Amino acid sequence: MNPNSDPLRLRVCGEDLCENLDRLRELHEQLLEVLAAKEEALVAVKLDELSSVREEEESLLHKVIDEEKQRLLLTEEIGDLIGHPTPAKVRVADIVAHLPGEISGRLSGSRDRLREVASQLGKQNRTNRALIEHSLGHIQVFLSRLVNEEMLGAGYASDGHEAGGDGGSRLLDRMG
Amino acid sequence: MSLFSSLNMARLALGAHQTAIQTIGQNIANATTEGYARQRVQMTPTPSDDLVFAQLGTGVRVSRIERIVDEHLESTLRDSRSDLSNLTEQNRIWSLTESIYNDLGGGGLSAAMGGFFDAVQDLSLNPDDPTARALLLQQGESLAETLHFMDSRIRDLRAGLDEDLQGSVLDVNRLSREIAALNRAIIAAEDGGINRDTANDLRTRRDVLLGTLAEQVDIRVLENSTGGVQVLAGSEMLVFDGRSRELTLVPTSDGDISLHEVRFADDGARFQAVGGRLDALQEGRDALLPDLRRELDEIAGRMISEVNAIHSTGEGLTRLSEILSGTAVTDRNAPLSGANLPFSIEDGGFTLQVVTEANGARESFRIDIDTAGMSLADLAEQVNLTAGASHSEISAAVTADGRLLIRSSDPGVTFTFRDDDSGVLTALGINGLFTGTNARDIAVSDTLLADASLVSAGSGGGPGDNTSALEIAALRDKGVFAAGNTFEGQYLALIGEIGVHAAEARNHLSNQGAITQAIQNQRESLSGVNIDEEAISLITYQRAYQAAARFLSVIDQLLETLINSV
Repeated sequence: MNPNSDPLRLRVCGEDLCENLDRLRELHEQLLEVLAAKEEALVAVKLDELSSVREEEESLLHKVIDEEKQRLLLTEEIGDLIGHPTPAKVRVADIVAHLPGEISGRLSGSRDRLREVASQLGKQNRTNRALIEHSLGHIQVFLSRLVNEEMLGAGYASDGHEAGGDGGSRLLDRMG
Repeated sequence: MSLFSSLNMARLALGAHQTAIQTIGQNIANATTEGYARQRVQMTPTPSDDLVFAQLGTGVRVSRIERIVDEHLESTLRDSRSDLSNLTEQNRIWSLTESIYNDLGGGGLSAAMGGFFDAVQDLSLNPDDPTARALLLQQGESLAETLHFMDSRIRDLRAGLDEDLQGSVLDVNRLSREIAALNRAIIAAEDGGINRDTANDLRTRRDVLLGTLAEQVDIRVLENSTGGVQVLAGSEMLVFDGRSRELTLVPTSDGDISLHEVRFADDGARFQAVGGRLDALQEGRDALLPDLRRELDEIAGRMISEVNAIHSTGEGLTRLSEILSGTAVTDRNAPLSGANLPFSIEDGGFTLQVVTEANGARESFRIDIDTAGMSLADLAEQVNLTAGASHSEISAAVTADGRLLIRSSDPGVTFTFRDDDSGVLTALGINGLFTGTNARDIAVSDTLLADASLVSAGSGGGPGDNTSALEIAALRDKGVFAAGNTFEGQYLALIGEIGVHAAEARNHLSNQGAITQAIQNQRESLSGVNIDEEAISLITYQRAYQAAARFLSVIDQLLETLINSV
């Protein structure tokens, strides 16, 4: 315990940190919902939804960043109060043991729930990343075929018979 | 979410999205394909997992890939293509017909008739001139050859249309079979109608084939609940689900032309196309060209009968000592009215004039004709009973092949004919300038070609007599046809009629072409692939996905910071 510690201030900061982590968790849960919607829009090629999801995502991220700033200020102050050698780098896990019992338990619960949501969020973000990379690769292939590669697949001749796909580039001829 | 669920979601999502992009690729590949209908993917989210704090999607699946097609527009386009094909064929037939009757080069029938009448006019000026006689016969042959040529071209065109019709029938059969096969494939692919409108490529191909079939014959297309179609031509079924009815070609003939009747192979019923190319071919082959040929035959027949009616009762520089009728009867004892003579006859008679060459004495014998009560044998007998009774050298008989033969056994006794108000001499082909009855068999009499002095320029008035020649020359300006038309007028009217029809066909074709193009444009705007639009779709997707990637790293960094700090 820091000889300069102020138990009352530490309690107030601890409670503030709990509330901060709860808000962060709520924001991350909202973000998780948005990312799930984003995934759906990505695979269903719903461009309008993708656009609105992106705006919502941006708005949530700004709020998360604001809360993160608040969390960093609170953890630094608590680190100072508990006499941590580098208060700016103190982790919530390091703080729990220095807080009064009921606040310590509440903080620990908030921390665990936040970590769980963050883990889900990480998975969802990785899925979205894979989808986007795959889709962009796919689109790139078709775009490159449009401008300089072979005709795509087989078509039909005017009499209704199948025409082979190896007859040169109709796209090139047309776009000439 | 379990690892399995996550992987399954990714599989569904990637597959669905790949289908969406590949559908764009398919559209682009078929951008210039006639009849292709663009396709769009419809996706449906799969049921989501209900987590405590969120609804997590489990992916999407492609619910259907729909063809952007308006069935009513497709049907209208098929009808329009059928009309266009019909009018295209009509236009081709009229153009070919026009070329047969084209007189612009100066070598046509009008010129040939003019040349013949000019030669008759020349003969009337010099009735005793052997050169004028030879020239007349030459012009007569030229006229006959022109008619033969036109007749043969009509026959050739008719035979050509028959060949085209055979090809068209083969096409109809092939297309019907292929549509039936596609019906089977579509019914199987769509589970007998449970998954309607899902076999897009098969349906597109069937639509293309239906459009091609409609060009051959006007059809009605009715789709069943199973996804198969019934194809009706008029009231006759061509295709029903997986079965097609074959058409067959039955050889037949029309006079001197070998043709083919179109019948159903299963029950032998005649098939008369309504609309489309086949209809135009049948109409051209069986109605238009026979009509035109009849009109040409009428001109030729009227030329033969009118000229021969004068020539048969005229007289040449030398008179007849033997004449054999050009027309044969099948039953020598049948009444003349029922003997199927090529030209009309009526009750009346003609005069047989017997000439004693030594002194120029002439004796006339009236032969009465009772068309209903007199046979060819009776006619011969009446000649024998009248002229033959007075002049034993003169005799008449019916030959074994049913022709009337009148002859003189003494070269010093000849005969000639006068005043035939029954038309029997013309009908029997006695002493005519022309033989034959129509455009195909018209010819200058072999007897005259062998002895031009027999050409009847006069009427027994001796040297310089041009009576008959003048009468024949006057036919040029005589209204011998029902509408009061002269020979040339009748022919020009026929040419004019053909020209009007040909022009109408061209106009109709032009109008129908514009109508079809307008419908085609409507169809293209709905179902056609705009390659620029598809490319823009791809680029739009690309930009949307690039934008979607924008916060991926931000979130990763935030999460890393968060995990490390708490």
